[in-house]
Amino acid sequence: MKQTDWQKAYAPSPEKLEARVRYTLSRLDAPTPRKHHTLRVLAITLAALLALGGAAYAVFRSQTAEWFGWFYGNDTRDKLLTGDLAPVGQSYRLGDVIYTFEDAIYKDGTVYGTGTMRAADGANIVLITEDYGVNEPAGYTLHYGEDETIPDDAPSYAELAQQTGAKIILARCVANGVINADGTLNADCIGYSEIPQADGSIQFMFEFEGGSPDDRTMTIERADSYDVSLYIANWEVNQYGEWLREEPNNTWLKTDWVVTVTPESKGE
Amino acid sequence: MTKNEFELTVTALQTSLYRVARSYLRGEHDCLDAVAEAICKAWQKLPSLRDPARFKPWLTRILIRECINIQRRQKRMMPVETVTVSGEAPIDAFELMQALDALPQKLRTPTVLYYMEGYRVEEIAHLLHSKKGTVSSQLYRARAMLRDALKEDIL
Repeated sequence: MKQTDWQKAYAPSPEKLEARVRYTLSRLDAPTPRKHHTLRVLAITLAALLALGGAAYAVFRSQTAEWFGWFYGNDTRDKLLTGDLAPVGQSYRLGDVIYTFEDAIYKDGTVYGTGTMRAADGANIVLITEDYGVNEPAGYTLHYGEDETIPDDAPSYAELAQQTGAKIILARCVANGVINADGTLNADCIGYSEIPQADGSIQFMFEFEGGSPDDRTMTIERADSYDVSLYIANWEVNQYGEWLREEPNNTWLKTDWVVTVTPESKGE
Repeated sequence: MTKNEFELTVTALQTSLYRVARSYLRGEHDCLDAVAEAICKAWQKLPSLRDPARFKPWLTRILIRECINIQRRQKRMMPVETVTVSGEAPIDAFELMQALDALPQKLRTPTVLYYMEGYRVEEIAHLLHSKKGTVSSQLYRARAMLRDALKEDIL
């Protein structure tokens, strides 16, 4: 078989590839997004906990433990509650979407975290995750084996957007890993889920162990704090479910968001 | 290398880059993302390239790292899109695509680099931080699996 025959098997769509490379080349000298250390704009929860002093740690209810318990079962929840629990409560706005990193847990070399993605105040948008189609009922968890009763008249994401004249925005939040002291990224086997909520927000959850492409044995050592790097992005999806990420209708916003996570109760 | 040279070289390599990305990633969007990110990073790191003649493998290595990063983010992701072969592609290209996709990752990428992109075994070993013997063995096993899948001698 000739090399050209092999190449046909993985042939790209030439128009899309050319357009994407052309766009990328045209922005080579555009300023790159800086990694953001945000202020704690939603520090109310944390402040309340701190005000309560040491006793607050005992009553801190970890969303991360709860969500991973929902996902994997109560054994996992109980295991995570013996880890190093870190309330976070930091938010970042990207376009019309507010990303809030709620809390995190370090346990046995793995970092777990959860948060929400929701529409900013006044933004007329319908949020959707990438595992869902615009014609599926909005706000229902369809892919997790939940025994949900979905009313026949439940509006789809597309219908909801049409009813309110809103844009459909696909939002993502995925962990990149923790940043080592030398600036390199430390993570392997990153798992994540994004779960639609009845109120229109999206819950995100992630977990990762240490590692790098060149060193799979790298671990995440237990520490007083961790710089967790998150990749956050969103873009518009039209009523046909097409992603508007190509010129001239490119709506894609993305950045890395670095959040310093400090466990406030040490586990076992 | 000037910016103009960089742009011309990257444009000439874009299809090859896509195919290498495709050996790691199923989704077309992901492949395009990986190629775009690799180009951006290559431009930023260009001063560190000591030998311009090695630009292609250097850029390919950056791309592979980017693909691995994207892949690591997808450990629990459900497949929501798959790449389709364009309408003009003959059916045997589709069959080959399926057979390649069915290969384990460790065999697929060396196969793509060797047969599609024309890299030599030692170059692949360098790109994948592997050993020549390992790559040779991977190519041997991949050929056997492809031969079984396609019911014909593929070479």
